Amino acid sequence: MTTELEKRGKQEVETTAAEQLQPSGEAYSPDVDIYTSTDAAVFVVDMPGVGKGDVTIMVDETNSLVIRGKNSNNEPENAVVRQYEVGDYYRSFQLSDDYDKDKISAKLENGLLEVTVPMREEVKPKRIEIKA
Amino acid sequence: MMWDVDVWSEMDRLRKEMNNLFSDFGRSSGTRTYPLINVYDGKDAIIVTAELPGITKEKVHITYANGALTLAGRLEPQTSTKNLTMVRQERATGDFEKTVRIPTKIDQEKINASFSLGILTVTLPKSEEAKPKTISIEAK
Repeated sequence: MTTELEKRGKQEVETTAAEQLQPSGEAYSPDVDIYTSTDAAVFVVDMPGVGKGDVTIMVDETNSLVIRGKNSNNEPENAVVRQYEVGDYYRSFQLSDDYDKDKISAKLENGLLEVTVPMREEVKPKRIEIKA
Repeated sequence: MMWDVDVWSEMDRLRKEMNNLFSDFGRSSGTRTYPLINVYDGKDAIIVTAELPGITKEKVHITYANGALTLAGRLEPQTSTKNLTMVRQERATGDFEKTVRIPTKIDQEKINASFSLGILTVTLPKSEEAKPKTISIEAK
């Protein structure tokens, strides 16, 4: 069952045709889980082989959240079984105007990147206290 | 040499990947058997690498028995997202187990594993009898 909140969240962060998968050169599209709440959207991105200094996160002029990772994993070429290719990562998502692109935070742990994009203050739900 | 990686589940994965071929770019596919591995046949050792982003080394169990290496564990959702609504899921979750048959005699005592940036590397040193020998020709 889809709640109203889920529908709204989906609309706001869904990747659309505008999503560019491979901008230039060799880059892989990493797997991403997306979460939303009334405060923020959280992107959890698989980036095995990427170290802390090798991630770039930016919001471009079209309001797209662009995530890049440079893979520092060095594997020889002569694999007898190869199920994954080693390469850099690229993924982008269209953000709505409700998100505050100046307050994006991120952490990277064991090859897993977590990017938090908060909602702008004026969009966040306000709790109104009832005075006596 | 036969490199046997769960043949039936791999065939199933391939079939699903073929189905996804045109809607799917690069590495993103929810249907593969987790984790993805690469196997290298070096001079002195067989090296198995696996992509396990977000997992800690305590959560991965590695066993070698009867000529087969098994990687098992559990992928748990991030605790930081516990109270949030998931709107898109591509990453694998749940229990995983993957077995690779190693067609080379291995020195079991010397198997070692390391984990860095979400990539597990298991080194299985070949036993002396399995290592390539150089035979020198004696002059007469």
